[in-house]
Amino acid sequence: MNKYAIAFIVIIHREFARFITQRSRLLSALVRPLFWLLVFAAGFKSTLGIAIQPPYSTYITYDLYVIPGLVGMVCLFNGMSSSLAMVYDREAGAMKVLMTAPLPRRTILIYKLIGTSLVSIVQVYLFLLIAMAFDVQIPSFGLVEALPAIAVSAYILALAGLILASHIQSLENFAGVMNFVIFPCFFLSSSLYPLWQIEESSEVLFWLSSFNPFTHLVELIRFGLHGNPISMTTGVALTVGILLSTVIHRIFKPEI
Amino acid sequence: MLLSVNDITHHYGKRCALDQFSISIPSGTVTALLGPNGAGKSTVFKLLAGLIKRQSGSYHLDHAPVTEEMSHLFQKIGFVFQEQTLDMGRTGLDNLRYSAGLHGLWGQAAGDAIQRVTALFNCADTLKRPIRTMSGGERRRIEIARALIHQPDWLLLDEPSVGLDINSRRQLSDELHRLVQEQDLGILWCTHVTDELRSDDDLVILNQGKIRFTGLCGSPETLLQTYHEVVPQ
Repeated sequence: MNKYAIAFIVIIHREFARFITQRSRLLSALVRPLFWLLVFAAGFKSTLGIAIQPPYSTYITYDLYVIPGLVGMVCLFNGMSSSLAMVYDREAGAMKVLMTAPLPRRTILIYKLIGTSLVSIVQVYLFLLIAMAFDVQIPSFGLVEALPAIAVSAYILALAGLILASHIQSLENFAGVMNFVIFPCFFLSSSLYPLWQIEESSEVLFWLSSFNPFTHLVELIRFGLHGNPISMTTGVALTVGILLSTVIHRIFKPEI
Repeated sequence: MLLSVNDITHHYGKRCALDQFSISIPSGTVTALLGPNGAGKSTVFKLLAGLIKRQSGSYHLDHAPVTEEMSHLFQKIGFVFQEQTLDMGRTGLDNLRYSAGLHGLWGQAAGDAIQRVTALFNCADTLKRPIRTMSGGERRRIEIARALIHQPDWLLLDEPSVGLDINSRRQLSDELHRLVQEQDLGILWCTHVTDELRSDDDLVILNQGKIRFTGLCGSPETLLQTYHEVVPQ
């Protein structure tokens, strides 16, 4: 087997082995979005319906509306916690082993990002299956059609996490950054409310949400889940991905 | 075969950590890099491992320049870092398999390599235990075994005996010197501890970023005398 393929397998295997052995991480990855879905969305379900708007062709219930946002949340948290793991690896020295492997550093980074994305995808599908078991009406064909959107979103959010990790020297600093990134990203987006509803209450929040790349990833997933794997947001998401890739290749430092 | 470093100067901000540092490590030799804390030993190590960017000078392996684009040359080097770099939650075997994979070894080839290095360091019986349950000496053996898994031509050791007792340290020194003899390995050994070295090992003493002495280690007494002459207390 080719040495690049072997390195790919062992890096991915390590990402999964780590994810599986850290049971609390596995549990919180599922409990967090389920809590939002089964408690927060259940409360709004009876009072809040979502008017017809693309990609929906009919009125939908609120729990179905929040699903793409919660999928995005799973990817966002996993991207950030993988970066946290990278900061830990750097502190614990394990990163040195990776950085002295006889492979181009860019290749190593890409493998790490793919590993993180695959872990996100597994979490997302576990979440979606549990949500369906709780009678959320996700179209089953959408599970397949949304895969590219979920994969792209997971990769972009892993990239964002890596950019943060490459500038953070210790775990203490990272906890603060997570709060300043995750919460604004999630709340200033179309995850919980459609943008037109946000616009009705605040013009400023509407503009902030419109420019938030996370909004476009959520919409990409939303359209994917409802039979439109390629939508207007695909271009925005890919542009963000290319931009972040360029940034990480420029700023990533092997200094450990 | 030769690992050579020429005229490397490195600054951290305004502080000069290394000043025109040059060293050559032929295969089949041990070169000890001695110096007090802050002498620049770890900077040398980080530069050779590509963990910090070289600001000047050159670095060659067998006349091939080592640059970021030439990362495949790291196949010729094994690194043992001063601090623990093992995955604490995973077993010794997992750690060795991971490193074997990063160096392109898979399946039977990886299995054979693991068997070879664990036999060298007599650590096969600890392999199935998680690293966090191992003693400091057992972890060190796994780390050194891991550094040799891809049969490198050079082994770069940054204070590998930190945390080891006297017997383990002597044993480690014996094993590494045996490898130099039997496998023509070239070793750069950054250390504070002079009793790990042999009289015919090459010696480089570094202080305040400058090479203050090059020659042979000689007897332990001579070595200490030389050291105190060039590194005033």
